[in-house]
Amino acid sequence: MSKRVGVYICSGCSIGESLDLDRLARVAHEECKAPVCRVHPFLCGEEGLATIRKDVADQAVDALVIAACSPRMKTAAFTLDPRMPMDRVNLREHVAWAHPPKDEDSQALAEDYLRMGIVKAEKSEPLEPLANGISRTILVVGGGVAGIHAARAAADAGYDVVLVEKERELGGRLAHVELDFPTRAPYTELEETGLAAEIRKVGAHPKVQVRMLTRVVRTEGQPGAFAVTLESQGKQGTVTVGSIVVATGWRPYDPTRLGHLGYGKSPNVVTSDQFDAMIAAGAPVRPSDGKPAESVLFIQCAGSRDQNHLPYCSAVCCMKTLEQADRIHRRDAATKVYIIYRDIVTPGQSERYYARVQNHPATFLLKGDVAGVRNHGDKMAVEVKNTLLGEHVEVPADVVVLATGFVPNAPGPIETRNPADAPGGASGAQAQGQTGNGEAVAGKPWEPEPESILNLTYRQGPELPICRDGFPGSNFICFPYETLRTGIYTAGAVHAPMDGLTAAEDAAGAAMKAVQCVEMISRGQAVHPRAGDLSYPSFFLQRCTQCKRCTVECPFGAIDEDEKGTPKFNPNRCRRCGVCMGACPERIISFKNYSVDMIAGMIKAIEVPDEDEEKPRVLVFMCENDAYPALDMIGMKRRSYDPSVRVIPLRCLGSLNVVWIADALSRGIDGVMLIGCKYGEDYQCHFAKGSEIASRRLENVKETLQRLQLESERVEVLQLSLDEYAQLPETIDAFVDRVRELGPNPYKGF
Amino acid sequence: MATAQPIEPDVGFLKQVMALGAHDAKKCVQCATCTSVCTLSTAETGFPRKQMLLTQWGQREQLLSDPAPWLCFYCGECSKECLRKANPGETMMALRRYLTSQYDWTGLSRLMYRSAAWELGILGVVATVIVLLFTLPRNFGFGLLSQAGPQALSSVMLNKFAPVETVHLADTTLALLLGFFLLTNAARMFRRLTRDDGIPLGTYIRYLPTLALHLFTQARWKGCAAGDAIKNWVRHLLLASGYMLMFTLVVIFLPWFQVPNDRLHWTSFLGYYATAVLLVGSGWMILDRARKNGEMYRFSHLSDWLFPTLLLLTAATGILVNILRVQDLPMPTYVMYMIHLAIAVPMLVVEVPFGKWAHLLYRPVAIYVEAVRRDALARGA
Amino acid sequence: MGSAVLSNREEKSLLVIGGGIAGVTAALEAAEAGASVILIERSPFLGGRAIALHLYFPKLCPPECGFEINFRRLKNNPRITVLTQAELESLRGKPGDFQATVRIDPRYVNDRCTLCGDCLQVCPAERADDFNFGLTRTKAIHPPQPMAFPAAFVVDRAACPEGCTACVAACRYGAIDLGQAAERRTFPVAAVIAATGWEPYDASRLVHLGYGKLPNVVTNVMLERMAATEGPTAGKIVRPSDGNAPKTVAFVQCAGSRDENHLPYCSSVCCLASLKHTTYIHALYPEAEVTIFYIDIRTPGLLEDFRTKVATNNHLKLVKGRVGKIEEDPETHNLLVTVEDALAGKKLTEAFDLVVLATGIVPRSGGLPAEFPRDEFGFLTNGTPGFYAAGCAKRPEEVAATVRDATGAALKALQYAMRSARHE
Repeated sequence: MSKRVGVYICSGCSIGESLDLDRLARVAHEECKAPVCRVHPFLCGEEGLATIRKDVADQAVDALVIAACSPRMKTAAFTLDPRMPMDRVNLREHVAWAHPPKDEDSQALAEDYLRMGIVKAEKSEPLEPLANGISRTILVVGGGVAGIHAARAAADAGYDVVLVEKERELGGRLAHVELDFPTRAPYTELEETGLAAEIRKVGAHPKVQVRMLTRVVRTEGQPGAFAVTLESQGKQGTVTVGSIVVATGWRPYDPTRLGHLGYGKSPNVVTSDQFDAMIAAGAPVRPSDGKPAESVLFIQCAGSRDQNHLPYCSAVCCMKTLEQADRIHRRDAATKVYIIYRDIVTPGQSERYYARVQNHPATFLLKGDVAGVRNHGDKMAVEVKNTLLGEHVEVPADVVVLATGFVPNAPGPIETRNPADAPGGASGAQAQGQTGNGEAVAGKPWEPEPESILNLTYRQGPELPICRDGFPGSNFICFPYETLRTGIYTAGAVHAPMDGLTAAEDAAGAAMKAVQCVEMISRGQAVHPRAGDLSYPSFFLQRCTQCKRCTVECPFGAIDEDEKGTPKFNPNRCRRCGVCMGACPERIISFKNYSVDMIAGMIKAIEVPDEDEEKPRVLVFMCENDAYPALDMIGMKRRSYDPSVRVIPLRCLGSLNVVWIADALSRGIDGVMLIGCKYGEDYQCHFAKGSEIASRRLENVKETLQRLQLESERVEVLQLSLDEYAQLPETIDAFVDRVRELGPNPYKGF
Repeated sequence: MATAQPIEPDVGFLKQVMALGAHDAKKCVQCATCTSVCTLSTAETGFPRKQMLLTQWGQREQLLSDPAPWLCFYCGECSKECLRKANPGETMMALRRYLTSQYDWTGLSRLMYRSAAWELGILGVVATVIVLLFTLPRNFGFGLLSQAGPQALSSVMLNKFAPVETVHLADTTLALLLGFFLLTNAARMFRRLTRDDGIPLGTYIRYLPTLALHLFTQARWKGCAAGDAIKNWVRHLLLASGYMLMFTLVVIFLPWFQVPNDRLHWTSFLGYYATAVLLVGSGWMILDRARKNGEMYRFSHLSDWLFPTLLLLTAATGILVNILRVQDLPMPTYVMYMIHLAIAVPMLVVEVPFGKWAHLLYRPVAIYVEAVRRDALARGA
Repeated sequence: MGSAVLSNREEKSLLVIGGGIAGVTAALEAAEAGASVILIERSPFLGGRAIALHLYFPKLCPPECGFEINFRRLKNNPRITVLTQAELESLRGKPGDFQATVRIDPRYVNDRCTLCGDCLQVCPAERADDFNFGLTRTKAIHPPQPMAFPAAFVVDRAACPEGCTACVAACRYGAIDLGQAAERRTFPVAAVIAATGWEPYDASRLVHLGYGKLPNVVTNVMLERMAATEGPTAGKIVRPSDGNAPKTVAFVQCAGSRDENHLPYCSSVCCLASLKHTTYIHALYPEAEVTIFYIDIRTPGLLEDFRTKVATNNHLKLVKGRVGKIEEDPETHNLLVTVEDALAGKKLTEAFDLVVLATGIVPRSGGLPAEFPRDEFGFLTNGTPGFYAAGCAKRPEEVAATVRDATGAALKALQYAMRSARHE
């Protein structure tokens, strides 16, 4: 035995009453040759812990197996040294609390778990954190509201910042806006943006380097050591930064696609943006003849919430329109302002501003669907159907303003959706109404002008992957800054449609993540979701066949390739999920405390009863983030399930290497079940694609099984959401029953 | 699909209605809470939500041909529940004020609703005429006071001083004249509401009892949501009964009603009843309005104050006349009589065909038209 | 450079008030960047309102999933001190150099508790479970919430019979101390983040809607608990009057929100919550007819996709019109909902088996230092250096927005702590 494994069995919490601990200790001592094995009635108590600490201090042990409660319990107490090999054998939730006491099957389960735990500890190596000489400089791309606030927040916290802006000045879309939406009680008056002062502050900040007229032309490396090539007026230079905030903002939706709303029919149909420019110069006029506009009509959701255009709500257009109405009436209270809306979206306190602006006698709001816009003498006439007046009406106006929505300044197509996919609903009705005269063709992807932002040299592409609707944000509600590229965070309108205030706050959050990223990496720790993990994979490249599976499958683009296809691993981009380890057919990727060999050893440690005992064995690979806690809950509830299952938690189901399935089946294990997180559009996998990748791998395994004359039903994959834990016993039992019906694995005994 | 109706706000109209009380109408977000809490609003009428929108959008023409504002008795539940405090109840009231001013073909009503000066001015002019009638030297053909003669100055001889026949003739004439104005105004309203509706005359005839019912009872009021709707209705009914009774006594039964002080006629008892009811009823209403007691009284337009005030004063002076007469104080009686007329006559002249009083007829007409429409709709469907 | 930054920062802690999703996030983000954090929470467990939800919109994923990760981050992070049943009693000093005194109420159970449950067997007393709005009962000693962090039982002393020590005798680990007293602790603190969250608007104040009088009128937060596996009905949405499955359900939007007689602001999340609740109902009863009565459906930004998706269901009707009145058929306890379908211009009274009031968000901002400015509705506003607000105590917002806000607040607090450290 290479390691001195100390096995500590807790007899508390009814483990002692349920199991024969002497037999269990014999398994550790005699069978597994663990030099130290102690049973304690209250292991997590001070006395119990002191016993372990003493053995460690005496160097009697250099790896620990704690056979007690779930690793999710008493975590801090049992974390004696985060670098030391250690496994927690879950005798409480997964055995004593879930299975009948003093029962042979329960005992066999506990013994297997103990064997597996000892193997795991034996096959773990002490962790050595990555030594990192890193840069703590934060790069902020984009100098609009979000960029300025991100830069300022990070700089104020003591970090050097490089702020890159492609235009001549800072401020972005709000650069010349003096008044913006209300942010303070009573929320009824426009407020000065204060942006000019912010721009001055950030410009004068000793820790901020502002680079105007500059673009990022190349981003190499990894968090803590990004080499970013900046180009300014033909000249290139490189900066080294630790993490990146992308705050490239938004642009208005292309109005030429809004012909059905009159754009292009007359110069008197303008966009919200164009109208802003017009009223900045003075009172609104009719562009066709320059006469003062006596009436202005706003069409809300122009291109937004429309399955033929932008499927999402652009979030700020209602407030923007109210602001413009307000500004029109500040100049001339007699100008008629019409607002044709589907829903007025002024959430939170902004409702007060809506109430205030609406109260103006010359503001006229009408809910309805715009059916057409036509020229009507020297005016425009807007036809509205399904109105609250109960009538189909036509409103004449001098100027029609299309409240066009947000398109994120991120490269990547925005897919329009086929209205057939979304029948019913208010938006569906509108979309169908527009199909005839709209210029968009349903279902055809709309390619906005591609614009490169980061030009990453990553194997998996040059930009942040799009999350949804063209925005490179996060799919996680609880972790809204987690993009699929480690150390790169989005802020402001490129993150999601939002107003200036929200963008400023959002930017502080993104900067927080950027700051946190460099700090964690400097300590050799992984960032979310395995925050603090000191392990990282190593690649035994001599045996690499350049199959590229790892470089393709890594959800975070951590692995690049050289010309030959040999993987080039960037540890600071890595989230330690082990998807690469699962992908590798040559099994050359391992962590010090998590490897193909280790799990294979654990499988080998399972005692498979002979065929005539009629006791099946079913191996269950479980995602440790969701399925494993779900099974803990079953134990907590003292609910039972078939004791023939042996559970192996995985960092992510995506780290499943199919060789384990082959190992298990060839050892006579009768069935293998994979329980991972939900995947698809609303995936819950914390590593984005892990569970999906695992189920794809399983498809291939099933073909192999058929070739081996094994029923493919012996292997099954299941998606489980943590809230569905109550179904887990039935699901497991049903699978075991199906396996029983298939009969014993013919490879038993081989 | 119906063709699109051109729609453009009549800002002048909007401003007028806002000035007449719809000051909060623009706040409405069309949530329709008002309609759902209104117990008088039915599946088809759906008021007051739609009238709020029509008002916001300055849709004068549509509102002129809309009976809905008259179907509301202003219990105020809608205003109480309105989440934007847009006061639909007061908006409906303002619409009624506006409509009253519009149905009148003489234009007087419009002038009076638009300006307090006009309203008070006209009242003043009529009152002055009455006063002049009494006080000017007889040479000018007036001077009732000087006409009475010395006999009348020693003891109260109201009939001598103002002969019943003359007064009777005068007030009958006045009643006919006012009735003419009121009926023609109501006819204009009726025409406006029923224009081009294509409903056969037979239906209109069949529903005449509805008109009569609501004319005499305003029974619809009972359906209001507010807890004190019945109380308000009864109070209003009593007041109206007193008013109508007094009107009848004065116009038709004056020869028996205005009897010498030593004789009691059956009409006297009716007169006492009417006076008491008028006095208490109008006084109570004024008090409620002053205390803003309930939604209905939260906002008051000049027209809301004038009618009950004049009514109260008329009743009060009427009693004083009687008291002075019983005390046999000739000159004070005559002066009080003059004051009584100087209040009562302008009130009648102004309020009956041109002012708030006209709702007595407008409301039943609207309810009637609504009933006919509903009938037609049911048949059509 | 970096290490200097770090060592300075570790001198003083950040104080985070409130252990809901916003507070937990702010504490973790700051701590993982290197700050020490004191996280105080009023109740005996972390997770706040978010963990009481069944699923989050728009992904329909459970809150436990994210909290599992967050609790793991907490367990692994020695820089965070979590104090439950704790409230800020006083804050003295100046930004960058505060003394925060925290009162910690007794839990009566110490960290020796293993959740073994022996005490549950012997505890003779029961109490209404406030986590389930009193719809279920627990023992006087109980786990505060199914996946509670910290994982330790708590005693509701008010429910204990006089002189009872049954649990103390039953506990093999000496984890129960019924004589525990409240304690006060004082911490040096550089900056304060208030993430005190919200509470649902009291629906009984909406007199026309019958809540509290009509059994089948429930609120959205109650529905949320009913749908939860650990809820009072173990995940079944039923009529409280008879426990039957509802065949027709109405949602009343803006029950108190956007209403100048109640909450004059929009509570931002109720439209999405009701759309989400529709999916709960249809997951249980695919044929149930659901109607959402609304003023405006507000699904801002990318959340619009959720509306688009949910609205495809033929068993869902969206009707523009706010419900003004709910009455009951006393025999069946069915509810008669009066509303105007404003787009159709038709007023209707429709019968429903169950009515859900989409009640709004009321900020919970009482008891905080006066340096936290509040607006007229009680929401905290930023503006005083060293004091930062995050989450629904600041504005009504959904979970992801709350987390973004809390993350930003963490950096602002951190940078203030830094600035003060540099100037000392």
